[in-house]
Amino acid sequence: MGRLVLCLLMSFLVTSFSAVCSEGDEPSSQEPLLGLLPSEADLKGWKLDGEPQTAEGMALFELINGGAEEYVKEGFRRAVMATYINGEGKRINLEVYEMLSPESARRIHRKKAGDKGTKVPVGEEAAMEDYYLNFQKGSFQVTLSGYDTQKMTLEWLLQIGRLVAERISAPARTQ
Amino acid sequence: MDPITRRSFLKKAACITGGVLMSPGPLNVLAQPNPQGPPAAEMKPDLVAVKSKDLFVGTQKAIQEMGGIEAFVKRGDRVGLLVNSPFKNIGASVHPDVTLALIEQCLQGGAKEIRYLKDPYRGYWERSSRSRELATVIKALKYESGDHVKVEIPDGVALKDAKAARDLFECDVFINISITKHHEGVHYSGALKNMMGLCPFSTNSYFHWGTLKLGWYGDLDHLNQCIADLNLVRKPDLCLSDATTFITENGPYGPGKLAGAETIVAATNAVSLDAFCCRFLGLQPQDVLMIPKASRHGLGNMNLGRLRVKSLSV
Repeated sequence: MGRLVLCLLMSFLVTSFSAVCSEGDEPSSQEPLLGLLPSEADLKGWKLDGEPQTAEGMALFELINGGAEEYVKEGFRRAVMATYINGEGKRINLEVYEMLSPESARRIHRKKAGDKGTKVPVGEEAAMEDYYLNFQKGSFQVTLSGYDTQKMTLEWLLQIGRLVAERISAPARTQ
Repeated sequence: MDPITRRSFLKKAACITGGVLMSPGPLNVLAQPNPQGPPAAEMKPDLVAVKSKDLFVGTQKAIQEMGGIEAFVKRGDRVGLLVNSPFKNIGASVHPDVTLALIEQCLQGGAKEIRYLKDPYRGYWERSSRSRELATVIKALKYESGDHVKVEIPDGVALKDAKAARDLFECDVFINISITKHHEGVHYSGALKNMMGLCPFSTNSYFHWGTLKLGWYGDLDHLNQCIADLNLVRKPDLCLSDATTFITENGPYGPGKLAGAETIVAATNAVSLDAFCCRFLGLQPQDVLMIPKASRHGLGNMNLGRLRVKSLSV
């Protein structure tokens, strides 16, 4: 019985969530998120490590588990995640989250970045930490992370971040 | 080279870790006299904490101090490993050196098959400097089948049945390898929480939404009870926790601020292991609801003062 109720609840949540998503003024299919990923030609010496992963709505839970909670709570639309690798085997992870509005994106950005980190000029707000970068532009919140604190790694985080920010159309979309 | 693990992060995390160590934390517990009196010299410890800058060596030492791999794995055994390694961000997954050290020990102990019960993220093994040297070990692993079976949990309080990986029940030995880390909902993620990695999304959804309170973490008591109940499905033969470098915020996924304790912890049950390791995050066992709930199920002792705890450095 409990499971039946849960199934009904899940259906309700997914339906409600889809309905909320569809209220956006731009259907997700109009602007594929994959187009926001820097191409290998843009990134000298780096290439994609496997196929990027995407998620829409509640499917984010299957991709990042409990990490999805805050995004969904703030109004999540869809996401794309990719990993780049260079010739030395160094990897950089890129996560692009499209939220329902710039306000949603700003809230989730501030929650993730906090008031710590070094302010850097990427998008509208950005904070660089020891090994990762968070920024927000329009309805997008973007996270890049590496596996060390080398200066070169942090420069590549910035470089890739700027390329993504350039690809995000301005001015920011509004609801 | 300026790696995040080891020394550099230990320095950067000195404030956090220092605070933890100054508080009545796990390593302080080690220094306290056992109220029950010192254990007999020949008795095996219930829990071992090894501080080491080399995770591979530290893990092997921890297993050795628990009685050696032969105490857990017999020749011809099929070993199931549940490793918290699906998250790409540093400090959110068990370091592969820890996993590789255990796998190598299992193979040396005569295991005929190692089953990886929850697949790691792509590129996981490459994070280990030993991945090339141990390429044949990695190649020998059998990854998750994706099949789940329904299991009855008659003693469960909130969870009476669950779907769990079929592979778990086809193994002779079950080893749980968790990472000590922050978790946004339940505050701490360790061995008990790691068991959710065996379940499909439908079962885990019930943990989160089963009482119809909205929100992924809408009913934490129910979530913690379900986790405790799930641990009745099968008790691990051995538990390890990577408490070397871990996220202290934005868990379970990260990225977030890191802390380091350079410690590998081993125990024969998940309750004692989590009771010990949650202190690295400044928490007491009773603060992490799943720990007392699992203890009440008889899954282990959360009272560290009553355990034979051995700490050492290598």
